Amino acid sequence: MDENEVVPLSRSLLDAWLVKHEFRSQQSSDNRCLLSFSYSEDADCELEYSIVVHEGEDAFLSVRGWSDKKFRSTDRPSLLEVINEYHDSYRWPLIRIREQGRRINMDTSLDVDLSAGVSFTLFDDILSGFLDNTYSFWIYISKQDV
Amino acid sequence: MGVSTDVATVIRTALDQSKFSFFQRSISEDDGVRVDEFLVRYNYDRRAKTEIDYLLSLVTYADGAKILDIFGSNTHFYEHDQRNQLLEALQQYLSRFRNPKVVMRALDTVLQTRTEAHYPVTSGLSEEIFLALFSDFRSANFSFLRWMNETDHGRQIPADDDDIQDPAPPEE
Repeated sequence: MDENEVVPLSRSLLDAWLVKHEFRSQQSSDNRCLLSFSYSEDADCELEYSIVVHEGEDAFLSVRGWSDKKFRSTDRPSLLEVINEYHDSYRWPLIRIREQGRRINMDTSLDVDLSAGVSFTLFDDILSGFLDNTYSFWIYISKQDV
Repeated sequence: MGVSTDVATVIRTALDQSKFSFFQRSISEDDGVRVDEFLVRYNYDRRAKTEIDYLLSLVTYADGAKILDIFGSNTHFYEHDQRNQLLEALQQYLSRFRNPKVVMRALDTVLQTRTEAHYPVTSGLSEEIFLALFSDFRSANFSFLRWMNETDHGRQIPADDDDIQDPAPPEE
């Protein structure tokens, strides 16, 4: 495979990426690729990712990352400040919060329009970069007073 | 079809061929970082109710790593006492839509929002990929601006000429 050749976005690129990084993934019934990472002391959490490759004319790559860490709903204003500061200081990832009862979950996301195709190298840089930067975000959060 | 690692030329060619009006300048910094900037200016947009500028910033680091940063700026301003309301509005937007990243920034007298997207392009880009990414960003930027206009997130301050933060004049 010429890793710099632009090809249509397809599941085979994701499969090649999983092989390259020796990741063991699970497949959900709705065709999402699921990656799980065990507890990290640095990030103080476990991390999971859902990766979806949308093929076709409007092809795009969609990734979600979340952890087992929960926050109090009373900390919502502080969390919004921390997220904005992080968004302003760092390029990646995009961070969202979801309130469930009295708990807040945070997730990170990546959605890239790859309708014009993508090289494997660019695909690798985008996806690996997202995982690395999400991990850095959780390390950052573990050091914040929220 | 392949990619080119001369990403600045890819961007310039793509913008030229797509008839975008833009300014370009290059900055070399002491630490070996080079920044190629392309400023695409739009006039007042009636649908978004704001002027819109897009700044495409290609950052090349001393080790050869390249990042393409795309920024969208607008001329909506908010009072400082609406900070919490504005942060909440941005988060609500992000919870509903997939892009772009939206950031609140505090200027001296007002608050402003900025949209962003970033791509690692060390391995190169093709003109087609660049145009797809830029088109997606512009579309998402409009979604954000329209959403902010249509939702109850706090009162905007009518744009005043003195408040508008123009980027430094680019060198052709």
